[in-house]
Amino acid sequence: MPPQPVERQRAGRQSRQRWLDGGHGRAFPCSPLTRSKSIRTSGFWLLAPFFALFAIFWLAPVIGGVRLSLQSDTLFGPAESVGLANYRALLDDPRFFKALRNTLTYTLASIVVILPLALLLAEALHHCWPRLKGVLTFVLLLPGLTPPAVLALLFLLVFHGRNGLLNQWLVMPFGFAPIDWLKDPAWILPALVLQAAWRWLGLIAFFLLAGRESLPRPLYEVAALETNRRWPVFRRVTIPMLRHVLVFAGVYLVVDAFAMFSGAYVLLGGSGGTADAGLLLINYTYQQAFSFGKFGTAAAMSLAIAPLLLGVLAVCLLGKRRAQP
Amino acid sequence: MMRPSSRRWSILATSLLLLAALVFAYPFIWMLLAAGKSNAEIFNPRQFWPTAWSLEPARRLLSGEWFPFWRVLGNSVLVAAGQALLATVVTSLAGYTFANARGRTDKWFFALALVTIVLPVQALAIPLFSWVNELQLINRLWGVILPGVASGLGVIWFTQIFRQVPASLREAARLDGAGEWRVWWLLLPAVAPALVSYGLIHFILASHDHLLPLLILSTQDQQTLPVALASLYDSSLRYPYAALMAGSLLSILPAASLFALGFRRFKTALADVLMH
Repeated sequence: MPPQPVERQRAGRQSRQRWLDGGHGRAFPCSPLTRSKSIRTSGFWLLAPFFALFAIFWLAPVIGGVRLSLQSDTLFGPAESVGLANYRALLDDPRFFKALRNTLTYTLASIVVILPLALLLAEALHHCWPRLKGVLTFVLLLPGLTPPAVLALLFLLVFHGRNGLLNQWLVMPFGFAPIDWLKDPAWILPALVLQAAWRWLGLIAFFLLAGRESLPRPLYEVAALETNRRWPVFRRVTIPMLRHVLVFAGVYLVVDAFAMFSGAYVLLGGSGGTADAGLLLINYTYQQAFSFGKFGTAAAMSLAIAPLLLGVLAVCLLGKRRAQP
Repeated sequence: MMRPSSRRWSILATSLLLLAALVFAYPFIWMLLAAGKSNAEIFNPRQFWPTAWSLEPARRLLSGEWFPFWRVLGNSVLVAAGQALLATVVTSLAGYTFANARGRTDKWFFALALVTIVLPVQALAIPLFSWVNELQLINRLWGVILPGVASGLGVIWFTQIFRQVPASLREAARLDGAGEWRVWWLLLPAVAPALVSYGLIHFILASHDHLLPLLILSTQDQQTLPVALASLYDSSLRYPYAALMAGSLLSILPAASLFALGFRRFKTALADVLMH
């Protein structure tokens, strides 16, 4: 028996799954007898370990954070309750908005740079000489496996003033003046984006490759009957078929960009760089708390990030739903 | 589907990739060579080969001159492996339950589990720091391991995976009188690639975390390798950078070798999760 019309509006996979499951016992009349009670009771215990840890190490800090954000900035001694003053102060803090703008720019730029290049790399990996495929994938992935603090150490040398690799190899040979990547406010953010691209390209390409390889071959055989050119097939078959992976990659990059700490921290020595050009939200939070001792302000800031991230993710996921035929 | 252009296309793709691989690998090769260079040579990136191979700095690093190297490396592996293992168990339990659940409350619990993605522990670092302090876990490896275990990513991953396990397997186990715990246990071999892959992903994510170890592990013998290396970098310019390069290379080793081992399983599981 097919699923109810209401359910049909949901993702096709889910309803198909329900049907296979004998969802609600409609397809297989025997299943409700064995299911109904056991899930309600012992399912709860299977969730218990997760939610115990969730309560202790996520919920408790969130509550602590809310309390902290409503107090004045004193770590020791009696803190006064100040209501929403910390949040209000946030709205008046130009550095917060600077950090917000930087984070959003950084996020958007890294997605715009990484996704198309990763698609290209994945397609190349798919077509490349089979014997080299494993090695090449692994080499491309290597930066993603490296701890970001170590990457940043390395990048200090890549971005280093006049003597850095980028200047010596790519900027000066073409007759441009050397760029002081980490000091010049105009170039700090591009340097961070470049670092993100180098770090994540291989991993995202790997995600896309895994998806690409599981696409059915007949699809491409049919497409080959229609056209002989590569680009239309890539654009009209590969990209739409990989949209789940692309959305996943986008979400991954957004979350990573918002949690980005160590890269900027090591690269810029814990500050926001010249004129705060590289100040990101998490780094600013850290600076407020541990350089200035303003724990209340920092907590308010941390909590203000969450709805923002939720908003950005909601936009991504709505885009996904919209993209679905 | 061998079209005449296919061969040319594969040559083009391979050469593009070789070029990309060179760009990606170059810094690592450079780092390897830099482990044998003097400070002056390191700050002249145009010099590719070291003039005199000196393994002295690496030896001093390994002998624990600046920090107890082997202990710190062990801490890194322990933190990442411990968190990955616990997270795999805990989130696969939750994912198994959510994959079978269809009540309204289950949906709310599922959404609740995903909140950890939106507000990651890194963003909660400050209250978490004082809370971990109250729990007496400060400067202990558990203080870094436990906060990362309840991962929303893992819940999504395993919910997707367990939805693809044929219902007949589960029903068969249940008809044999197995309780939910036992069914979960019996289904694990069927999702082995996914278990390995998630463990791998979590291992990498956990070993990349910098903020929590930096805050929570304060003494040298409890630190993780990236934090110790970064603090070495901050401290001064007196020690040889070659040691830093050697240490950095070694810090990549655990994740890279695990990845090389689990590579194939990872790819199949990834396709399963991402394409459905």
